[in-house]
Formats: sequence, structure tokens, C-alpha cells
Amino acid sequence: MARDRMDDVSDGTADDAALRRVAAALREPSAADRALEARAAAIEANVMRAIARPADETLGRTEVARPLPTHRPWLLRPRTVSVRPLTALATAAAVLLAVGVGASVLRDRAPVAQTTIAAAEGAPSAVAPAADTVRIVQFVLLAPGAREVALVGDFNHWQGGSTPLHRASAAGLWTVELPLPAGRYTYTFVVDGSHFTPDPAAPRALADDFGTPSSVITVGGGHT
Amino acid sequence: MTAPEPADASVVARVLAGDQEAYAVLVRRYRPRLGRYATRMLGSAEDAEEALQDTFVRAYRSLARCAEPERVGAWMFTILVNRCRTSGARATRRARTFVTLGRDDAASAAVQEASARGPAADEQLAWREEIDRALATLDTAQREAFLLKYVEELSYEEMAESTGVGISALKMRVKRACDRLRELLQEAYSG
Repeated sequence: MARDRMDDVSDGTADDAALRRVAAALREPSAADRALEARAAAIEANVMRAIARPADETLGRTEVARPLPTHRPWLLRPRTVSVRPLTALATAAAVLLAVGVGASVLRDRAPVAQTTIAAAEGAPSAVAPAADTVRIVQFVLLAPGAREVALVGDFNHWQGGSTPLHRASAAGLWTVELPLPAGRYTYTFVVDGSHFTPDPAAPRALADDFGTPSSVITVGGGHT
Repeated sequence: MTAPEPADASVVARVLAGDQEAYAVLVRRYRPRLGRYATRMLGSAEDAEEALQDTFVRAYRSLARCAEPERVGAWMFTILVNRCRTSGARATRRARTFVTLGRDDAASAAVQEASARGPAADEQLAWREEIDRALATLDTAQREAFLLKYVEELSYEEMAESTGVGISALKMRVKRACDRLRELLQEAYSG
């Protein structure tokens, strides 16, 4: 019988039929499938146990930035906080969003302004901050037509409700400030609860496994 | 009369609202299909189990990023495809050329079961082993494309959505995979 199958393969007109028989064979349960099925309960239990743990302890493979400290420990540290001169807000990203109608996007690469407060032990701002410095990062999106804008990313487990932006101007500028430890974060804006919008002023994240258009920010190093 | 299964969107909403236990519904619902792809892509039940668990945990952690909760299964499948691609690349670097059909006891049980069913079942098992071996020799991208097209029966548009690869490139990968499989399986039966 196997030889008949391969004779079919040698006939060019039957190629598809032969390959479809291969595919049909692959759809049949295999020994590996049965082994996996026998482990169904264990797999479910492992998954449910893993999701009950904090993200950075899970399986050692899920790449999630350390959770934001929600209890203000950085504010209570016995450090002198020195404030760098504010970086003036350059021309805000001129991104016009006509939500629900179809987007007309004008990409303007003006930088997102970032206001940073370096926590250092009495050191002047010219001295490199301590390795565990937390910086205040301001996220900005111009979305005049939006009713609500939220920020989701590695720093808040992509939970939309946890970091809403507030409307800072009548022109539709939305902003939020987050204290973030040094690191690299992927994030995006969620407009009106469902429209994912990457930051037009930040590099795009590559190879996003979830199909979500998102951006990347690196906090820390010599400058942000 | 049993209650109807809750729709995906409803389960996703419950999980996002904090009902962690509800996530088990999605795990049970999609484990068979995701597991089938993982075993064929990775070649062993152990690797498939690891990829499956990682995928479900990753999907849970990022569930808010699922733009279409009613299609959460397809979204999870995308995560798995990418996870298997990484595993497949590592396996290639380990120069794994022989497919393990699962744990030794499972493989032995399959052989015994086929023998008990008679010569036709033996031949069926041998045919399947040859296919698995041939599949394992394809490079990761070609194996992925063949499985998505011929086994999962996705359209090229759906494949592009799952892999992030353009349709033309996917078609070329499928063609090369088919040509290679044909060649390998012909060799197996002409020797």
C-alpha cells in the first residue's frame, strides 16, 4: 500500500493528492498525541499553578519586566531627589486619530518628551545615577477624537484598566507619567478601549507575537 | 441537558475581570488543537508539552492584548506558532535528525497496538514514522508552512496572520516543503 502511495507521488498530476494523503496521515492521532493527551490534566494543572504566581517567577521563560512597585517604596527611600532641568515638550506628535471612521495618520517623528527625576544620594545631576534609579517617564499621545486613552505594556502586564492617560489639553493631548526602573519595555496605547495605537514617536517593536502594534522604550543608561 | 459551553469572548471577559479559574476553560478547549500542531512541529511529546504550557501562560499574561476575544483560539495559536519556531530553531542547532514519537513507553505501546491490529496497521505505523522522519528533516520555516497549510488547513491569509510572514514567501516555503517531502518519501520507498 505504501508503494502505491509513492507511485502516486512520482506522477506529476497526482502530486497534490499524494501530499494530501500525507497530510491526512499527519492529522491522525500519533503516539506523541496520545502521550500528550495522557498528560492533559497535568498540563492544565501546571498552567493554572503558573498563572497564579507572579509573572517574573513563571517558568523562567515569560519575558515580562518586573512589576511596577505599587506601594511607593521608591518614594520612601532615604535618598535626595534631584530634578534635572525639564526637557521642553517639543512639538507633540501630530497624530490625528479619527476613531471609528478610519485613521488618517500623519507620522511626525518629534520626540516624546520625557521628564526624569533621578534619585541619587545627594549627587549633582552630572553624576551617573545609581543602578537602581527609578525614572519618571511621561507618555504622550495626541488623539483629539478619543474619549479615553490607556497605556498598556510590559510594566503593567498589558492590563488596560490600570494606566489611563488624562486629557491634558483641549487640543486632545493625552498624557500619563510612570515611575519606571531601568530597562526595556514594550508598550502601546489603547484608544477608546479597543484601538491599539503604537507611539508614533518611538521605535516600533519587532516580531510582536500577539499581533499588537507596539513600541519600545529603553529607560536608564546614560540618558533617556 | 448540559449547559452550553461559554463563548470565548465571555470567558476572556471573565478572566480579565479577575476570574483566574475561568482560564481553565480556554486551556481545555484549545489544548488538543494546539497540542497537535506542537507535536508535529517539534517532534516529541515532551517538547510539545513545554511549548504548550509556555503558550498558555504567555497568553494569560497578555490576554488584554487579544484584540478579538471571540477569536482567542486563533490568537493563542499565533503565540504557539512563534514559540515552536524558537524551539524548532534550537532543535536544528542540536542537529536532531531523528523524530522521537513521544516517550519510549508511548512509542512501544503504539508498536504493540499496531501489531495487535494486524499487518495493515503495522504498515500504517511504518508509513507514519517515515512521514514524521521526513518532516523532521525540513527546516523550521518549511515544516511550519507545510503543517499550517496542509494539516491545520489554514488559508494563506490566515497563515500570514499567524506567522507575520508575507503570502508570497509562505507559498514558496510550502512548495519547497512539498518538493522535499516528496523526494524524501520517494527515497524511503525506492531503497
